[in-house]
Amino acid sequence: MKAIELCLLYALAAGSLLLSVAAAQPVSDSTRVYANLPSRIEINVPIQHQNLQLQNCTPASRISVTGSVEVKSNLDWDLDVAGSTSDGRMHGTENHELHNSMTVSALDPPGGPVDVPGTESSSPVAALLSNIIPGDYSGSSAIGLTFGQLFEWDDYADDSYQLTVTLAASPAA
Amino acid sequence: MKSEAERLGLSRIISHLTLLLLVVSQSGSITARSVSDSTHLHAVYPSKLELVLPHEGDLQMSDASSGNDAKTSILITVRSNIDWLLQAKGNYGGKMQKVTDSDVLLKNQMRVQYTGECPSNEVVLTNNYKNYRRGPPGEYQIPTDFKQMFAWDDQPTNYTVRVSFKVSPD
Repeated sequence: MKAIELCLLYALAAGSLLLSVAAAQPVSDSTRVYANLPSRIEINVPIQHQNLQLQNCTPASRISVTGSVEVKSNLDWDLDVAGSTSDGRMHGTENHELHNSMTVSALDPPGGPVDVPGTESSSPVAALLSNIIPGDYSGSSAIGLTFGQLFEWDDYADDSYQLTVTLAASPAA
Repeated sequence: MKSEAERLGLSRIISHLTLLLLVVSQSGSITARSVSDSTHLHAVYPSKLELVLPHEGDLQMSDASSGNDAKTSILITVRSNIDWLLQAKGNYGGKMQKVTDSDVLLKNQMRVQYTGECPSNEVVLTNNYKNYRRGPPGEYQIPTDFKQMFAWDDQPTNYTVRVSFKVSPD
């Protein structure tokens, strides 16, 4: 009799042990991963287009030269242009300055032409491109630019007309 | 108890400040700033001069008469992108010669005069170029009169003269 009780006691103990093992549930926890991708814009004028030469300048003619700029951005962006001289026109030696503004056009995406403004112009920057979507015109593809200059008879002959055009990319307004 | 409460309050303030700093730090990195690059353009613009005499060689003084001035007019075009000087000269000392006998000359030399705004003094033609007009770069129409005094002792016949103009850097 005592042996039977002992057996039952063992059986109960084993059963409860089995039950407790069977009742163990999978446990889990989680962690949330955050990432902050900052907006970023990069601009680069390819080295071969950092110094451009207007060729065969002659009176009463419009001379053009092709350049480019690379813009990378992960948000919509604008492209502005600004000139280095007070009036945005090419300056030569001995205070010679052309009478007409240089114009800039973007080929693809199309934009402009716009007159290059000067540092003392009422608006020192001119919008060339606006609201360009990142997926369309960013990455490594360059945007073709055309710089145009009209020379007239009343512009003094000069071997060294120069202008620096600054291209600025910024988040779309 | 009071100091424990103060400690808890201070801890909460520090926690909020940390959060605030974090937010400020993140907001600074969210907005991309404008970036720029530049291209430099050069141009060589060589000097150039143009002179156009539309009536060269075809002028006729129709009102010649002894004791009077006769004149004929042309429009000279000068185009230049530098300071320029226009000069004029005439063959045979600026005197008209008889068409059929180059030894017969008029007594008086031909004169040229700018007749545009602010007419200039007359320039008496000679064998050598004499200064006529000058100006800064641009395109200019230069209305010009050729004037000739016919004296009573000039032989009545047909006369001619070649008048030359030259534009050069001034």
